[in-house]
Amino acid sequence: MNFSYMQETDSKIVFPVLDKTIHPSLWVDSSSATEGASLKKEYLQIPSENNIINRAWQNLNTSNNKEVINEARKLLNEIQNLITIFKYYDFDICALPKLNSFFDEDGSFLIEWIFSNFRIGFNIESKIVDSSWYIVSDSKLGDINAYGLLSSGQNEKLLTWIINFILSNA
Amino acid sequence: MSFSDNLLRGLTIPDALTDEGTVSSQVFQFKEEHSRDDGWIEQSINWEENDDVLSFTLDQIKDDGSFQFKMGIVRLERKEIDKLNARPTIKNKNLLSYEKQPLPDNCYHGNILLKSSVSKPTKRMIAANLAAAVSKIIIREQ
Repeated sequence: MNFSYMQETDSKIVFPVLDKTIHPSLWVDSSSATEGASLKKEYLQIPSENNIINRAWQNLNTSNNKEVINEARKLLNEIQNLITIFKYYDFDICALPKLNSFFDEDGSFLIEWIFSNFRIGFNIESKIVDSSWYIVSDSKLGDINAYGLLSSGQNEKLLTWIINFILSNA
Repeated sequence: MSFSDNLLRGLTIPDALTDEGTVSSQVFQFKEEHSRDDGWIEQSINWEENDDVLSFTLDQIKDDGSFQFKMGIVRLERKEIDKLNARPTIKNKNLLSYEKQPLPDNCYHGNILLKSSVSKPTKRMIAANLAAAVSKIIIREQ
């Protein structure tokens, strides 16, 4: 099932809706299309100036751990794909900082998205099933401490929720 | 036992600070190799008990004669660790603590302690909390 996105004007919250319910101008005439009538995000070019994953992506080249690298790349692609789609729809996406990243001594790859009052982390562990995410904030945002597990290649809903958090608080 | 309000953590890794000048959570990751038999994982700090501790810490030398904290140091308020321990996800579990552990060549030495039984996601989150709570970054002039 394919989803598109809509954004509320006031709250800036982005939420998924089933394809074909919005942006008729983006519909492809199914009689001439080879792929159907849905927006294929894989074919959208990532604007270089908006490529927030680039630094973290390059950092992966410093490791030989193929499993961690593959998982990290999947996640980074998921993040960039969502951002690209939102920008393609002209959603009001604030200027997002680039992701920071490092390899821990145990071989895991830790990604951080740092903002003024909070930071978001994605941890790709050497034991992939232990990979997790977190949001931590200062007292201005209520001392948030939230975390959970990542799901290999299937984090779109989680990431949409996280990006909504960023849009509301950045 | 009384503790000073602030503690100092040395920056030894090149990526300790991000390009934007913020502290990476890498600085506060707890390492399994520092696990102790009493169920804690320790992370070295210096207690800022007087005005001299800052320069003392910056001047700490390794066996090879080079500065121990090449990048600089960060200051963390002790109350931030107490606040972290009081958060709903950590409260009543006493996952975090701290101690003094004077050494022959460093009377200010101590440790931030984390229960070794803590899950990996929680460890990562706590490291991020500590990094986010840093009150001051002191960069070594090159």
